[in-house]
Amino acid sequence: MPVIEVSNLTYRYGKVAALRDLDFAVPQGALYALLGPNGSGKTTLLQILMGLRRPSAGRVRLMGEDSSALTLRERATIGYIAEGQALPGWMRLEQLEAYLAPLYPTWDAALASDLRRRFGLDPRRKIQTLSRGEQMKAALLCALAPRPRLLIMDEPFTGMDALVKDELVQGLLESAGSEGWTVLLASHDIGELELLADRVGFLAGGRMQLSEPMDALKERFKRVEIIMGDDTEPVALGAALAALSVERSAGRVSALIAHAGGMPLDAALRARFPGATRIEVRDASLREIFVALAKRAASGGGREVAA
Amino acid sequence: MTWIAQVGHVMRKDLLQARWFLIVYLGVVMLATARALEWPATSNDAFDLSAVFVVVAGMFLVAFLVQADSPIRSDAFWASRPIHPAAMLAAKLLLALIVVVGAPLVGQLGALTTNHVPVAAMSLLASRSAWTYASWLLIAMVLAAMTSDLRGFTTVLVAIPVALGLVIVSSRFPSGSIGGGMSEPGRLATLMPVSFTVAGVGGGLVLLVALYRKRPLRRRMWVGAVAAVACLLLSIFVTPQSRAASLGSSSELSIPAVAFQVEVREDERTAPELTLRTEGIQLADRLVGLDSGVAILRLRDGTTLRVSVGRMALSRATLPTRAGIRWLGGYADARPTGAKVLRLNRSQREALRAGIAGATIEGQVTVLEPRIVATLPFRAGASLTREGRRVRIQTVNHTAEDSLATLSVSSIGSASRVFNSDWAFIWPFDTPRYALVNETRGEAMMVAQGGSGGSTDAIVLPGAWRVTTSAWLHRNAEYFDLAKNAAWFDESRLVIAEWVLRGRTAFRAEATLRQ
Amino acid sequence: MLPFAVTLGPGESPYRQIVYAATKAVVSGELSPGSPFPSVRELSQALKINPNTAHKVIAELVRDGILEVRPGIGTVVTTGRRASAAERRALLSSEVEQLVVEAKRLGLTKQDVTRAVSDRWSELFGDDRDAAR
Repeated sequence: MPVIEVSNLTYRYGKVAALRDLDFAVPQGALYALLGPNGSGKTTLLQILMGLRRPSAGRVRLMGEDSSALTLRERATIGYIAEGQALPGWMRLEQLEAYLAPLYPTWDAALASDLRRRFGLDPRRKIQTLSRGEQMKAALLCALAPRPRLLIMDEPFTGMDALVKDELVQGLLESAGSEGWTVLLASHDIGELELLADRVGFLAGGRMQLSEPMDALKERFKRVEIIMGDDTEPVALGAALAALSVERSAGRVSALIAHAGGMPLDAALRARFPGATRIEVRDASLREIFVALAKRAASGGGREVAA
Repeated sequence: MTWIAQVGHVMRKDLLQARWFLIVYLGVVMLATARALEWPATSNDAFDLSAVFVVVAGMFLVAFLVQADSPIRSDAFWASRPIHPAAMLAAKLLLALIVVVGAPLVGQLGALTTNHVPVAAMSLLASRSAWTYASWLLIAMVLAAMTSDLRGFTTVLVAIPVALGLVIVSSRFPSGSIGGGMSEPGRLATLMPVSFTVAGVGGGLVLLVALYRKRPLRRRMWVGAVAAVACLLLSIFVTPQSRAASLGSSSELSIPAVAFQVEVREDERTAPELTLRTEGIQLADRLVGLDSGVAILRLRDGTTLRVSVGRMALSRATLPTRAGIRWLGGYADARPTGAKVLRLNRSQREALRAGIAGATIEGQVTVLEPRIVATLPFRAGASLTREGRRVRIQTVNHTAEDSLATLSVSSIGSASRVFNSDWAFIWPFDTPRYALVNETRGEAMMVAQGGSGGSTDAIVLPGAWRVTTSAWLHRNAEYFDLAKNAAWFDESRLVIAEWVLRGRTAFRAEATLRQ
Repeated sequence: MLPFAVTLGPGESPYRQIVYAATKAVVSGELSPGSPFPSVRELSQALKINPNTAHKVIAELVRDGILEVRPGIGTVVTTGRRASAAERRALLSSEVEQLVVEAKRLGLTKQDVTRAVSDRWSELFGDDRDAAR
């Protein structure tokens, strides 16, 4: 049973539809990276999942229940941090922990002090005096201490320096419970997600352009380099090779291809470019894939590239 | 954590979060209480609006509390935590009631107690003040829930109630329906204020619950919010006015017959003049007056003419004293007669030329009884505090022609149904009448009140008011020559009475014609 | 700190890269037989990868016989298994491919390449006919 299930979700803000007929699901145990350009509606989607905004249409189910029908006990198993969410700055960290702990039956005080130590946070400082990175760590601490079954994070790494990002990831991986949890992480910056996520979704134009396991994605998208033996202008790749982006110059072609399976890519390329001296096929990086997808979405809605 | 435990948990957090705000608020409350207790430091005019400051400060405080855990902001911290929305709302409401309303209420009760206000009146005043204040706070909570920050709240606070207030006030002034008017109460005042209260309080609470639980589209909610606020404002400002109903039948009130005479004086040069005369009744113990009077004239040509009489005194009364007291100045003996020239318009004057065959006087008659409220030795500095009323004789001058004494009278109440026998200016509060009684010699003298200045002061919260009047007493011209010796005055006591509504009934009598 | 060197680069899935690096480390003796191998958790935290990926890596290495699970102790490098020459050669396949392709691009012949390799080996390690260790 998927932990998060969204069907036909629409959210209208005035006349603009930020989310259009959105469908996606996050299976149990996944670390799901929700990617998409700035302003693509990721934050709105996450706020709807958390019940902070009401959808205009469609359905959201969390842990099998309609999200509006969740009991408090179930809600206490969901952790949430958001870049824009204001922690009560007037509180000291220890006061915030004291405020939150009784609300969660599963609050683990040992884990909380462990994370506090790892993050180097002084519990007696007021939250508003902490730096941005420290505040994000405090937020992560508050979200992780109750050992949630579902963790929803909205742009946790944005604006953090490399050291803080590292510490956040460490803290996250360290608290991954042995019982297993599900994480939904939204970001416009791919960075660390490439290695962390095992499932990826791409939100652009108010819709999920794709949503699939990371392995499958990496299998599908390949970067190919074709080096001709001479300086001739290479032929076009052709429609059979669904290229997301192509660069051609004298003597070489570089392309990002969404490979649909069927004939092995190697052979297909060799057939098309018989005279090539070298054909290189390697995994495309997540960044390459999403830049190409974002460009396509921006230039007039994308043709669905789902497998 | 159970629902109830969460309410307490949030309340504790709120007290911690708002502690500085609370301290300032309690400071304002203490100043208002000091003013109500009449501490000398607070008698400055700057403290005049203490009660208003309390209400405004309280409104901002509850707005702060509501917005600390906003029900509409999508970045609200509490909304992503497992807190019952109903528990969150309940915590805010309880804190508003217990602390924000509670603190000034304690001050008010203290001030009322030191003024010896009787317990029944005290609980009535306190509960009315608390209810009014709670309504203001509910308005603030609704507006704060609908706005994202204090700046937005302030903007809306100024705009909406001011606009609505103007609407209310402008429709409340048709014809002297302020206070206890005997004229027809304004149209709004006859609507049941109870329905406003129910709609306002109910609507406000329903709206808050909906906002906290459902997070609906804000735009739609504004209609409901404005409606609830309007109802609350109406319930605050429109006080229940008793309709001009009869109170006691005429036989119960035992009004003896009054002789009316209608006189028409023709004059070639000026238009005909219509005068209504009465042969007054001397009722020793009550005042009788005609209100909303109408003279129905049956004319010789068969038509009927209605002329408004308005108000007219029908008797005089003295203050109740022990038997055997002789009232100086013949005050008690004169048989009062009254005459009033009735105002006619052009068509009425034309109609009168036909001549009057008969006349009937109709209207409402009000009966007032005097009640002694205080007796003081007649010397400067004497004072008495009883049942929320305080009288203090400030100066006494035996010989001056114009001023015999100055008094300071203050009384505590809300709105009462007592009338000034002159009916010149109707105070919503009792207006005493004065006499000097010399028991030793068995003589008494009515003393006229000339002029008074007054001020109204709220006691910590609006709803309980202290009205302070300074009254200047002087002797009537009639007995200027009497009793000028200081000894007479030294022996006498100042008796203060108030007039209490005994009854009101319809009245009808035939008038005789006098040519 | 992992007991073997691995740097994750682009172009190939991290899972494959780690399996490759771990296998190389075991075969070359960097990881001695019987020594403990990092757990899923340690692996994921050290490399900042998804624990599922770390899990897949270990499962694959166990399946290949590189690692074995000892109850009570955890995952350790297998003892008593030596990689055949063919297996070890296979570990060099990507480097060999790179060398060959690059040489071709530069217009060198197969003989050029073998001679270059032979010369370099002698220079570094002296003549060593016996490649097995």
